[in-house]
Amino acid sequence: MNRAKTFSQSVEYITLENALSMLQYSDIVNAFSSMAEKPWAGKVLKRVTTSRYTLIDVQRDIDDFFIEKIVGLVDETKNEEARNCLNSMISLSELINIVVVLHNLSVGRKPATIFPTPLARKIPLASPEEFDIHAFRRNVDKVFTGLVDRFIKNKKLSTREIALALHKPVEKIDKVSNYRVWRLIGIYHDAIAVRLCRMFPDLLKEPLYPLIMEDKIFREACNSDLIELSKISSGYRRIVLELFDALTDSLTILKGIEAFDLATVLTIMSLSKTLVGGEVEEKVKRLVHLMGSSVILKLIVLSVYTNTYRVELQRLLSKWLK
Amino acid sequence: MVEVKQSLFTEKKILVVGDPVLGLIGVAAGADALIYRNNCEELVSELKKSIQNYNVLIYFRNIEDDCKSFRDYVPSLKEMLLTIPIDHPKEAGRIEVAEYYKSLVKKYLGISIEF
Repeated sequence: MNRAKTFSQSVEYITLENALSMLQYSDIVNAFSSMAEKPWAGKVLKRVTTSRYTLIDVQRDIDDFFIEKIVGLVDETKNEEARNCLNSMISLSELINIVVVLHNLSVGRKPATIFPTPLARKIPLASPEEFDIHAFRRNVDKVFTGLVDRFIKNKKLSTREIALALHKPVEKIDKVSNYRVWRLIGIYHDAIAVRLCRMFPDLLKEPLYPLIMEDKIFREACNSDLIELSKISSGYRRIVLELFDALTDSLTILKGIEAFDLATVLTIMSLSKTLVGGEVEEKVKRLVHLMGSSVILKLIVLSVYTNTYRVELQRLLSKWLK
Repeated sequence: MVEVKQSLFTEKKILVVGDPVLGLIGVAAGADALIYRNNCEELVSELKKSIQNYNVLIYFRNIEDDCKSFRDYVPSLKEMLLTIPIDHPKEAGRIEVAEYYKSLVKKYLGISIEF
């Protein structure tokens, strides 16, 4: 029974073989038709074969599929420690989505989401004027309502509230009870913190507590040019250097902070291979696979749709998805 | 025509990969050892050269954490031989380090040691 369940779950992920196969096609219909046995292919195929579509439609369909699986994963997880770990990672992703939505609103841009999280599918692609901030607040996890309330009051993001919100998701994560999961969540937390302080340099004036990065490299990661950062290959913990190595590869396809987001996901996907035993490790591994599959599929769709960076993406995935 | 029969009980050749203490214990017990000292690429290239000589690989799991190349190589290793990842004493919780090493040696190498 368990074996059957594990098998059906792993079918949902994208493998290196799937990715390389899809990248051989020059259009989305054929790329997804070649993956007909994959549960995520159906929804996309239905859209691209029955109506006109945009790149964003397809990417949203992919996100919707994986978000549903992520919600299902949390619902089925009864073990408290495993649930805390899942909620911790999802909250960190959610924080980025919330900050990006609010930041976009404050500068008159459409809201956008970065990571697949339960909140992401509730965010309408409305213009800033039509965006219902109070409905948004009701959908936000309660740990982040302070951040949204302060935004509603001041019409701008508070770095103090962001710093507080960064700390909350990792409060319950214990280093001793599961070192390997703590390590993965730790580097994810630090990468999210770097992402945020690159968006808001004033965040560095607030008390921030990186879990894995030493203070010096954390500050450097916040301040340095991403290309310079990607060149650092010694002098720090290997797990941090792995993030910079992933950044080097991500920069061959994406620019700026998007490359950093991709590097973050590639790093945690690679680290998730060290998770093997027990419910906590299995659940966290599954969450990372679901998040990673969504991000990588969207990247493949982007490459096929725009007919760009095919070779670079093949090279990147061959290194990080194996 | 001479028929060559292969022994049913082939010798179990064990390779231990870990810190100097585990390496020393492994060698004392008759296994071979490679010491991991943050030399990720060197370790993997050494393993690729010599792994076919072994049936069992005992290694500290934290090498997988640290070294992406080793982490990526583990699935192939699992197809080639019996792999036994073990926790490094510093992450095995609140334990007596000497006792921990003794229990590992007893369990995986089948000998008793005294520090």
